[in-house]
Amino acid sequence: MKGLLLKDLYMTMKYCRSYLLIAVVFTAVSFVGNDNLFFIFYPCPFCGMIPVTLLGYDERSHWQQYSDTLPYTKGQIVSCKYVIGLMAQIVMLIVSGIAQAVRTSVNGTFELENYIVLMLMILVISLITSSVSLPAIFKLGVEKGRIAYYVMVGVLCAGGAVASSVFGEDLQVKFQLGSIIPILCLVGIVIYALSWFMSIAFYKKREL
Amino acid sequence: MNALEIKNLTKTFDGFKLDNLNLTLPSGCIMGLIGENGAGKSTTIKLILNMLRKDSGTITILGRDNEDNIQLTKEDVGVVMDEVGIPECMTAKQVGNVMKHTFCNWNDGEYKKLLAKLSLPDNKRFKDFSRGMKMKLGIAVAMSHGSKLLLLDEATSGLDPVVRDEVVEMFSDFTREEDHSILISSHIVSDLEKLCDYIAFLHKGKLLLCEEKDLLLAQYGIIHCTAEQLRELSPDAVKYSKESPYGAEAMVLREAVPEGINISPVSIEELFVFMVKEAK
Repeated sequence: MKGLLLKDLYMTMKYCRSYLLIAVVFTAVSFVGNDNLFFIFYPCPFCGMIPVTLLGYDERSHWQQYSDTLPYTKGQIVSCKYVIGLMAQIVMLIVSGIAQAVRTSVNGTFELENYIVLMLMILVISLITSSVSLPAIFKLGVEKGRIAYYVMVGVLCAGGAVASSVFGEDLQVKFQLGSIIPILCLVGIVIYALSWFMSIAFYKKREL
Repeated sequence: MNALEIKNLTKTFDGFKLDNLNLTLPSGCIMGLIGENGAGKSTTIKLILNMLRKDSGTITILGRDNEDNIQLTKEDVGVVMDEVGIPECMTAKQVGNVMKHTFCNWNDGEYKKLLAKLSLPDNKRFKDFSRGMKMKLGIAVAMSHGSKLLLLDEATSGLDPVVRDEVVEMFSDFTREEDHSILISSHIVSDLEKLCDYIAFLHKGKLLLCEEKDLLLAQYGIIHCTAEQLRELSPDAVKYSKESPYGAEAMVLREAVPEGINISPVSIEELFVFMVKEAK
């Protein structure tokens, strides 16, 4: 799989420079700005979409058919994208983490427990985002997969909105955030693993 | 040992069926797969590589069933598809680095030698290559990992005549080793006529014939005569004929034609066109 990873690394360096720029800008804004969670949260899931971009370029260059003629299993081809996605998210999490640690230390608001909770939340949201998008793409191809992804996100948002309006206050269960984080982490890891497994199963069935 | 054995291969799509295909490519030989667009050439190559799931039949590559650890078999098979499939941002040097970590038997020296021989620059991006250069890079990769079998899908299309000649020469050299074989599909029948030991005609998913090229050229011929003379010939002799106000032309089996009738040699291209028309 080293060859596949090297090829994706070359492609990431060429096609995903804009991700780096946006990540740097968002991190910088989150560093100098107030406690706006959007700028802290966004770069990590954003980098989790790098495999989707790579798959788009793969499809355009007919790499998917070509890689099927090389001595790789379909499982290795899919796994490469998950590994690249995971690497990108972890690198971005480390960068965001350092930025937030420095910022809160300078402000004098650094609290280890809050900091760990925040970082884990970012990682979980990021893992879930890429977990939802990749199986659809491996099953349907990049274009149809993207549409399926938007439909899924739309359905989830609409479901959330409907549930919120119907059940109102009942939904706002008073959890201690710290206590549910380990569960959320486990859920994030399980969803990512399940997504990985599903993508391999879908891709094995797909005829290119 | 046969490099490739296909038995009773069938694959059905909406509106197309590759129907009960049987092919055998002996080691050390080159087989040309000729067929019009949509005849099933690329489908056959994809089925050989297990890229498509067959409905029925068996495929044996270099003595191994193609469903039995195909990754190991692919180490010994060089493939060039119609669309080469190399990412557009990559240079030939980067492609070499990727393939070094892909094939166990990757030969970097051979790859560099082929790049130089085919005048391919090291540091130019694939997207800036002409179609011919893209094909040449695909061929260089396919021939740099100790392949015993080359599967080439329209690999000579897009090459200018001089380069095509060079590439055809390279393929010819490749099969000097007696365990090296090639299955090549092409629209450019003249290339196949020059290169191949065996010819297979595919038409609408059906194999019209698979025969040694020299035998085919010795068996068949073309006669030009009057319509009356044509009707005097045995129906077994005439494989296909067409009449016009100026006379008749027919593809014939040489041995079934009486002596004294002048038979012209037939080219593989003429043979293919005649056979497709007969099949219609």
